[in-house]
Amino acid sequence: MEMPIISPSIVSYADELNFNQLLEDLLKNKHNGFIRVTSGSYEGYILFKNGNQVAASYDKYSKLEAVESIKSIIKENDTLIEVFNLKESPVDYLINVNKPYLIESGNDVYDVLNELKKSDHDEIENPNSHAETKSSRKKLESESEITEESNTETTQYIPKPLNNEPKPTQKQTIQQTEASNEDKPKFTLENESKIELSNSEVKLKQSNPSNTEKILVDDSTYSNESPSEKEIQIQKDAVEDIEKKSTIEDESIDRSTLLKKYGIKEINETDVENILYSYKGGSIDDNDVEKIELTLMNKIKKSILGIPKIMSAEVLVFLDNTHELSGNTNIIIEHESKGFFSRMIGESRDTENLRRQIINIAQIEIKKSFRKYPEIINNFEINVEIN
Amino acid sequence: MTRVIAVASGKGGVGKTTITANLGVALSTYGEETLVLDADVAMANLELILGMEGKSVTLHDVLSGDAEIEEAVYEGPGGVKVVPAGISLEGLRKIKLDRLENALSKLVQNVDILLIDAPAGLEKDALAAIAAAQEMILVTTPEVPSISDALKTKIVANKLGVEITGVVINREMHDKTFLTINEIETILEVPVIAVIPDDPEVSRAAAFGEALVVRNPKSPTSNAIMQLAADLIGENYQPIEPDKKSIIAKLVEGLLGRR
Repeated sequence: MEMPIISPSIVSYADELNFNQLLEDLLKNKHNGFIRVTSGSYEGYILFKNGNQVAASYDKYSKLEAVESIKSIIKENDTLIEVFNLKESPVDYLINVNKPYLIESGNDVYDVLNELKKSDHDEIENPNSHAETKSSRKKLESESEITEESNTETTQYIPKPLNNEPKPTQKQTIQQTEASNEDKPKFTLENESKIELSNSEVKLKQSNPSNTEKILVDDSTYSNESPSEKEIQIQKDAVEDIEKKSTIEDESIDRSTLLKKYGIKEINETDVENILYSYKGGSIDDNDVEKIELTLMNKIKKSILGIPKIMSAEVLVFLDNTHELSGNTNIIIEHESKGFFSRMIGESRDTENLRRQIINIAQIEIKKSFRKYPEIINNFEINVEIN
Repeated sequence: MTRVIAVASGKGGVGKTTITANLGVALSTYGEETLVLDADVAMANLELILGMEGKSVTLHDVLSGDAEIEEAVYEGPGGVKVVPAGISLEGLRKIKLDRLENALSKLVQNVDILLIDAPAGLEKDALAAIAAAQEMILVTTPEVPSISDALKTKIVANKLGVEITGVVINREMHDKTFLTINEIETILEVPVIAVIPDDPEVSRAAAFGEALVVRNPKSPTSNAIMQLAADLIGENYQPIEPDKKSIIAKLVEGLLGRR
């Protein structure tokens, strides 16, 4: 899910916080914001609007599946729960950008959550007992101080270890907490309309603990003061960071999707073979000359024998490849003899026509054999002998 | 052992010759015996970029059988050796690409790195240049047609047994309308080894017939090419920062005619 990088109002390990009580209280207080549940390298989110869960994600799961997954991990020792507060308008924006994760109305997710609440009913804590964090973990202690400072409207909870849960052995790094020092820049989200960047421009992304410049949403800064230039710049920087992250996410798209997106066609094996064939076949090697001669001889002979009354034909092709490809073609044909009267009338004309026809046929065959180099015909000498 | 590297692109006009020329000069400045061969016999531009046009013997003559390859080797900027292709189209038909292989075998005897500026496309001349190399640097701009053609070239080069060293993205403008570096890497399945920014200094240097890495070593493009050259031979390169003079200082210098 796409979530803004802000400071949490509550940070606690799951074994120190009654998750079901938290959900109840968020509902009771009509909470706007989201909770993040981190277990190992997996993160889950539940987005709240007026106390209702409107969207959820966990690892690759979304909607109800995500809620179920979150339910399954909240009892684990190293699961970290963080509560983030937002105003209503950013929540609307987040709902808009996280449409694939929206829990539709009428979904049985609420039933699941109710079940969840019932199952741990005994562990429900008093929501008003929110003075100080009693966590034994040092990092969480520092976070509780921030929680106090932030003076949030949301009810805060004392993270208390569950009786039946063992003490965690693995310390969860809470960089979010560490990042929320006083020297960090702060800005309000209340006056978003006054900030140059509109909601549509601000592509809020999932918070990244390693991000050094984080945007803190502190309820103490929820005032009517308009943001300073510095604050706007910080926000711009944050947006740039988010855009960079967006780019990185885009880059993770698989190759076939990218090829489809940009309309790039991958060259297939046959095309590659054709290209390589034209490369290898296009350059005439001296070893190939004899083969070409033989091919041309057969082609020309076959074509000539198609002429009526040609009894036999012998074709000899000699190629010269020393400087520029050239050739000499000698064709000897034998055709049916005509009667004496016919010979008297026009033998000479018929013979000349036949010679021209044979030359044409030979030229056509040569051109067909060198399709990409038809000018080669100028380098061929064709001799025809008629018997 | 001599490294024979073809610089190919697929699509023409992506800046392949400019990169080859400057990369050759850059490698030479690192002390590598480098020879740049312009195999683009139909559209020879390398000699124009390096200001070496009008040479009496060129690759044309060698491939036509009228000269030996040693006669066509000239010394260029930074000590780089250059074999110009010859700009004249006269006698182009006399060229026999089979002779290229023989010429290259003679050239590799005396150099550390032989850079071949391959013609664009996948015609016979381009394939002959690629096939003659052991490695290939694929040059592309971050535009779809250029990437598409580069992909074809890469596939054919792989088929010819040529190792693709990497992709050089030229004229990078950080514009969202173009493909990102990761997208290019994903599509081509080849690592991006250099990103050369779009730089008007390149055109200016070409107009003066000078290698950019010599004319303006502080330009971002020069730094990127020097870094690429260093990476190719495993050297370290410290980018040269441009002078940060005030506008007034520049104005005064301009008025005094010092620029």
